[in-house]
Amino acid sequence: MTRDPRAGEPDANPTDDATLVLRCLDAARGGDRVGGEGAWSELVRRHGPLAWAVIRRAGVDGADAADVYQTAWLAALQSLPRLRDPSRFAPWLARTAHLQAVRLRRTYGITRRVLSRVDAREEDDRAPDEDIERFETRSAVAAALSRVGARCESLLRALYYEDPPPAYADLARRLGMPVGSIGPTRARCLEKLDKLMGGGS
Amino acid sequence: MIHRRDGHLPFRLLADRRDGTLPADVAAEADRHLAEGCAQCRADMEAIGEIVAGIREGSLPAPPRDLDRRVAAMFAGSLPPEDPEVFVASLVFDQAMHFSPALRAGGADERRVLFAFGEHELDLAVTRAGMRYDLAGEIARRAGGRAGSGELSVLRGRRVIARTAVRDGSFACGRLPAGRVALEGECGAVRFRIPLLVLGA
Repeated sequence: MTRDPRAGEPDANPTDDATLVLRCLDAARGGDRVGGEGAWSELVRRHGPLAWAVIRRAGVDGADAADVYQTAWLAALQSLPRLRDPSRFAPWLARTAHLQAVRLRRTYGITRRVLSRVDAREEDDRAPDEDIERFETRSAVAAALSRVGARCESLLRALYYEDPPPAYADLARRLGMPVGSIGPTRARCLEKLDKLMGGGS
Repeated sequence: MIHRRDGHLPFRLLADRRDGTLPADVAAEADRHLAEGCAQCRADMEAIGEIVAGIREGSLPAPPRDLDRRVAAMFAGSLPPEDPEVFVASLVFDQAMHFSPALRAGGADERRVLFAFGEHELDLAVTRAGMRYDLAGEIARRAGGRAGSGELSVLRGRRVIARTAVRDGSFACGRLPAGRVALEGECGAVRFRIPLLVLGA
């Protein structure tokens, strides 16, 4: 997304990534250890799926994917003090994971060439920005959905995730709400979700 | 009139436009506004599209749980070791203050002092040798058994004037000048400090 959170908006997420990163750094400097460990665990819980998706997308799986995943997090941990914008932790981690995956994939290529004497094939190692952004959005939407409230979450999942989407009448019965309120509630829930993700019109 | 006071379209109206649930005339007016190139409303429209796509694609698959546990534990391993607690020793007995020939264990020039810290006791013998003083001490657990090994420093002000090893709780340190000193020691996993010990009268 290209929009910036608006100044003056209420803090949509009191433990945003920047706060978690700063807690980790504080613990590393001898501050609150328990707070730091909790913050790091939350970063792992929040962004593990993103790093994992990027690694799998790079064509690495099985035990290699597990190795790359750990290496990527270790690299992130060691580079944490040099992170310029802690609020951009997720894309930074995703690119670190991609880089680690590509490095491993290169060794696959070398091994293949050495073992079977096949010609080197040019592989596209450019960072798949579009894919990474799509993963980031999926990850952010999933996180926001878990905080938007049970009613909104059920409604939005039913409307946009179920295939085929249920008829309004069925949905109204299922959620115990008037048919006429589904449209306005859906728009309100989307707005709420957008605010949780840092937007705000 | 479908615009807000600031000239932009309400987020909820854009959400309805995206889902195709607006009346035709309202939809046409919204389309005109978007076609005129309003950056804010276009960004909102794009955000709605990304949110809906994010819900439609579902959550990213999480990495194996044991992998996340290992990554979470990485942080604690990266932190500097915690400083062990430093106990300030308290004086239990000083032969100089409770002079009694019956309590005298050593020679005429020997003074016994007993300190306690944490679960330990330090039995210290201060012996005058001319104008100098020798220290000999034993650190033991109150519950029984000697303390471990480590190091003991004698300080005058902030300056270390003598340093000696502690082996199985025992140490000796000789030729100290008269005056006020402090002792700082480490014995096994325990650190202690004796803020004041007067050598001589």
